[in-house]
Amino acid sequence: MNNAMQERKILLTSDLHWARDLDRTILVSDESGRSFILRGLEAIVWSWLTLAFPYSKIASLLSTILESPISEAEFRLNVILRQWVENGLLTIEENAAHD
Amino acid sequence: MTNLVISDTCNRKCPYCFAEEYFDSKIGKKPHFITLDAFEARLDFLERSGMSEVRLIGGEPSLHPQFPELIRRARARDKRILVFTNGFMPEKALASLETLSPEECTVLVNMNTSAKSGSRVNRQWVLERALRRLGLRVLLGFSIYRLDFDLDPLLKIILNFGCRKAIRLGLAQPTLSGQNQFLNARQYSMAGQRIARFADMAAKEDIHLEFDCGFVRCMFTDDQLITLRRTGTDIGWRCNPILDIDLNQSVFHCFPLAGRIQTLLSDTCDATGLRDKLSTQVESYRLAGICKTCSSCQFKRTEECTGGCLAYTMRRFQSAQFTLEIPVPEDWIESRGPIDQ
Repeated sequence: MNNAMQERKILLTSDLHWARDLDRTILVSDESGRSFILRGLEAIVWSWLTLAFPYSKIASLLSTILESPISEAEFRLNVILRQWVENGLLTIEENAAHD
Repeated sequence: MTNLVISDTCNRKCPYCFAEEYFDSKIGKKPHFITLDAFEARLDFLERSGMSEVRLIGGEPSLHPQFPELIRRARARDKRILVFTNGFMPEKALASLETLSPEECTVLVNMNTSAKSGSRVNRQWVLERALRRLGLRVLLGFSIYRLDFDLDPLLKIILNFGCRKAIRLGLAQPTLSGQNQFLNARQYSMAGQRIARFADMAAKEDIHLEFDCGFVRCMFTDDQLITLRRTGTDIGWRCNPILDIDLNQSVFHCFPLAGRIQTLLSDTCDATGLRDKLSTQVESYRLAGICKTCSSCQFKRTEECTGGCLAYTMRRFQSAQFTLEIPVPEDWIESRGPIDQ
């Protein structure tokens, strides 16, 4: 693991509800009333998250379906996760850093 | 429209009932009824909202010990009466409705109810007594909660008892917990086929169908839809906040969503304000429908169809609870912006 990296735990906001449709995944926040629609790769990543797959497994699966090196898959995954944090789909649990 | 709960007890035990679970969850099993003062406050609300109809629900509304007085007070304000009943009503309630003309009141009798107790013969006698005496005031209702439903006997009943020449059809919908019986969306098209066939048969007796909420466009083929239109069926693919007002002043979007999508009645609010408030609460869930295909369906996209019952739709949503440990750069953490609420 990169030295500049540090393990953090990301928790989903507790009020989020989701349903999988034929060509999209719909997420709803009861608290804010906001909704989000995920399609394609994002919907796939979300489905793995809901199956409680660990980060390494998700990155590995992503690497397989993208036919790309694991480092690139991790990069793509981080971009998605970061975007979700910024949009309020995911929230970072404070004080969850690991040694 | 707004429905007023005036009784939280019922003398039937229907497997598809969406109110029983809510009422049973309340503390104590003692029956509760609306007080006369609270009823007057509800009538004030209806007047503020410009509504000319008083719609009484329960439980079984006719079990209210002061039912005739409630009717009298509603009529004193020149309101039309609509009673949702199973038809097993006490004599004094029956007698009070008998005094009203068919223009002044509609008694919507749900015909496929299930008994708590009592012999079948006796139950039939009680029901027939109500139908005979109320005649043209009666609109028959039927809740479809399984595929082997049989509507044919309703035609004979309408003709024998001189009821209104219409049948109000409802699709039994799930509560959020799904504890009641309801028709699975996969069965809708088969139900649609049977409904269209029955509409054709009923039309020969000059009887038409009226759809309650929760029907969806895709449960009928184009040909079946033509049949329904030709036979005068009141078609609608609706799911809107009905406004069911409970004894404790809670206002539900509708009973299947009781406890989840609700607000409170105040002395100043009106139906439009309450409906807007409840609509906002559920707006995001409207993106979906009862099936996986709803959100990409042309009928939903063009808003011809709402995508079915909202309670059914909301049952498709799962709560997301997971933890993910991820290795991320420190600046990734630090630079994140505030979460937009």
